[in-house]
Amino acid sequence: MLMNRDIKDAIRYIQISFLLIILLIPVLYVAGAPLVSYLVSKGRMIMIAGAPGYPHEYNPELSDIDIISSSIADISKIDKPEQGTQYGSIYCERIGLSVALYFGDDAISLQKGAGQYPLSGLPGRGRPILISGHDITFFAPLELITEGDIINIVTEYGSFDYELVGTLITDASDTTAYKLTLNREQLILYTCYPFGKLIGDRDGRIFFYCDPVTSD
Amino acid sequence: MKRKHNNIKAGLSLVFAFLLTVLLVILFISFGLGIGVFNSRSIIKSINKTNYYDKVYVDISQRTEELLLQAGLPSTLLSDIITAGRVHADGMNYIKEATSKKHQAYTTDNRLSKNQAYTTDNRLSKNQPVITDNTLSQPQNTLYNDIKANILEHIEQIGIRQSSDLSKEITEVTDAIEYEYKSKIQMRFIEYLMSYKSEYGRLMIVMVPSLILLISVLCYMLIRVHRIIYRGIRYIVYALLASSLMTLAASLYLLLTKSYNKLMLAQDYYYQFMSEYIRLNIIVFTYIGMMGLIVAMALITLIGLMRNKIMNINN
Repeated sequence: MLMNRDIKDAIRYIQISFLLIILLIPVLYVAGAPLVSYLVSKGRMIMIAGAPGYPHEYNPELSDIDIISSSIADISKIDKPEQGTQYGSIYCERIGLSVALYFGDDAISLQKGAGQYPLSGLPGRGRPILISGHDITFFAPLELITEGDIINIVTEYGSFDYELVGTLITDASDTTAYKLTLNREQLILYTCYPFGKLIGDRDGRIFFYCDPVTSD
Repeated sequence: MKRKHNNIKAGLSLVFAFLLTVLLVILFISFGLGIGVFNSRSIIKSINKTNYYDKVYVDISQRTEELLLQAGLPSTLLSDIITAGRVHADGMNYIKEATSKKHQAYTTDNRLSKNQAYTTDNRLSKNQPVITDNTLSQPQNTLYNDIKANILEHIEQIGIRQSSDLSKEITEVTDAIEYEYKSKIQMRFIEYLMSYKSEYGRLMIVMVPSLILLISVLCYMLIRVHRIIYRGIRYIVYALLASSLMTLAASLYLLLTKSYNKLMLAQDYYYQFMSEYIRLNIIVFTYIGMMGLIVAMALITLIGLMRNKIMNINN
């Protein structure tokens, strides 16, 4: 009889413990998922950004490139980088922005740094350059940027400075926020808005428009 | 009527046990972060286990050789200056400084001078990044001076006359090598981590006492709801078992699936360090879960003793 009671007790311990676990899981998921996602993103960012040499060191795999030159005249001969490769770095000293620049704005590239929309132009090529990044990780410093700040993009083939001239807050669905058919160079950085929002819809976007200052 | 009363007691106890489970999970996570993630010992252990600075030395040596060859100098010119021992000593010194309490949290970006970027074809740009030298084992300009002295000695030996252009090139090569050395010794991940550690510390000052207070209140309520104490303790055990099993199961799952191997990191030695560091931290949570189970077992034993005592009294 003692044994039966012990067995009953053991079963009850297991049953009620598992009942509590089953009740806890959805609560943790609903309440904890945004926070966990935020922490995982932050953790991933500090792992990547904390690597030795980030964001300066990279092995650019520019297809068909055989020029390492800072001459603007040679830039026209540079072909596009391979999708998903880091081909440069973006800096803005005043706000502490220092991030690797990848060709392609897929999820994996954005986990490692900033991603350039492949159909936009390359720095120095005289076309709009559209670059995105996550607001809670690599593009978080953009929350502090103001007009007049200089953003520097360093690539294998040269260094290019851009000055912030304007911003726009709009929806993700607003395709009028940028025009890739323009015949002049403009750096357009964009990210989710408001910055750091964990819960609720993430449809807001903020665009930063930067005009060229100097290029090497 | 009595049955209804008992049902209400059981329902209430279950609610309290559920809340207690939530609080215990949060407490376990908080402890795990403090003992594991933000503990400098786990960083140092991971560095030692993966021979991190030995591999950094290999990386620095290769890069130094490349830079020397590019400058037309023998690749082994600095093999007596940049040694494995020096790299290891400087590296561990850096880690010690970066993880010390007095260390001011900062990101590399705050320490970089203007125009810190450089291209791979020309490692030098105007105003190269400034890396804190106070972490080096020797006075801050010793490495620079040693490198430059070695290069000058070699040039003198082969009978080349020094000109202003040559001096400038020597300075450039020395700067580049020094920069490579320092940037590889430095591990900004630790700096970022320590900045989060200070925020964690501030949060824990408020959170841990609050958690302990709430847990105590819930335990007291559970005991008070039941006329017989051990019945209240039983619900505490349910909560402890649930939270410990969750912590243990989650950490075992991560360990068995080797989720720490799926990191996307560039340098191999850094990847190995991060994998080991994350693995160690997951093990910390495993131990916390096991400790919770042990405490639960102890409480179950206590419940058994209390119940037997009551039964003996009744008999």
